[in-house]
Amino acid sequence: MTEAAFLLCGAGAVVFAALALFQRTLYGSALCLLGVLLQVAGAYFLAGARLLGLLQVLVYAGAVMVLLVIAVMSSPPRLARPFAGTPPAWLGWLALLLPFAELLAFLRLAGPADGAPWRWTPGLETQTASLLFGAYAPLTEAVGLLVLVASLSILREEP
Amino acid sequence: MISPAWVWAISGSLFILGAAFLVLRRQLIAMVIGLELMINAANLNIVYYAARRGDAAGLAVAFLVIAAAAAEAVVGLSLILALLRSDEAAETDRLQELAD
Repeated sequence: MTEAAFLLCGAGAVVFAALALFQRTLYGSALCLLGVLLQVAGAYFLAGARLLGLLQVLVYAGAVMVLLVIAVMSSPPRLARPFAGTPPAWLGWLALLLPFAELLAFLRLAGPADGAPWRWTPGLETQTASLLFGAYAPLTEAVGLLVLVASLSILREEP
Repeated sequence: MISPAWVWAISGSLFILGAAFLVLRRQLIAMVIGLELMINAANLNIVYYAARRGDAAGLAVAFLVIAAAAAEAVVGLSLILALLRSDEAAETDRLQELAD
């Protein structure tokens, strides 16, 4: 049941991504991206990575989406033509159909499942936190510094 | 019991759609959206295998990828906002070089 829900979330993410590609407005694309991010967060949660699912909602669907919407609101209306030049229609259909063809091909070529039951590993998130603030602490600090420096990039240089 | 091929298919489809964003759309903001899709596709695979194998290191890496991707989005969008403030269009066909 959990696996079926995981697949449903993944399929929902693909559908939202395909919808986002063919939206004429950036608002529509941003809303569809929100759908993708929430579906992926649901998939993380169902896979047992509840902390990552929460982070996905807080960081991506929250902070990054707010920044994205602000950038869209700052865009002048002349950004109305959404596509690069006039792409041939077959290219758009290819972009839409290729993921589904790939999905069918994978399912056709895939062997049987390996039979291992999929269950949550108890204490996995505790181990993850121990790694992040133990063995991987320098990496965690480096990424924290990266986020800090990135947030400084939005400051405007005074003339 | 699902086959891992489903997860490959889903994340591969997300990655292809993100790449299609980069190729087909002309606004820089839409290209950032495509990049986010591609990063999420990769992260979905990492999280699936880490959770399936009970590998805490994989989940830690996915956490770091989320943080790095957020930083990338902030830098990209602030560059786009700077372009918009300077009365430049944030469109790829009007920006041939970074110096522009």
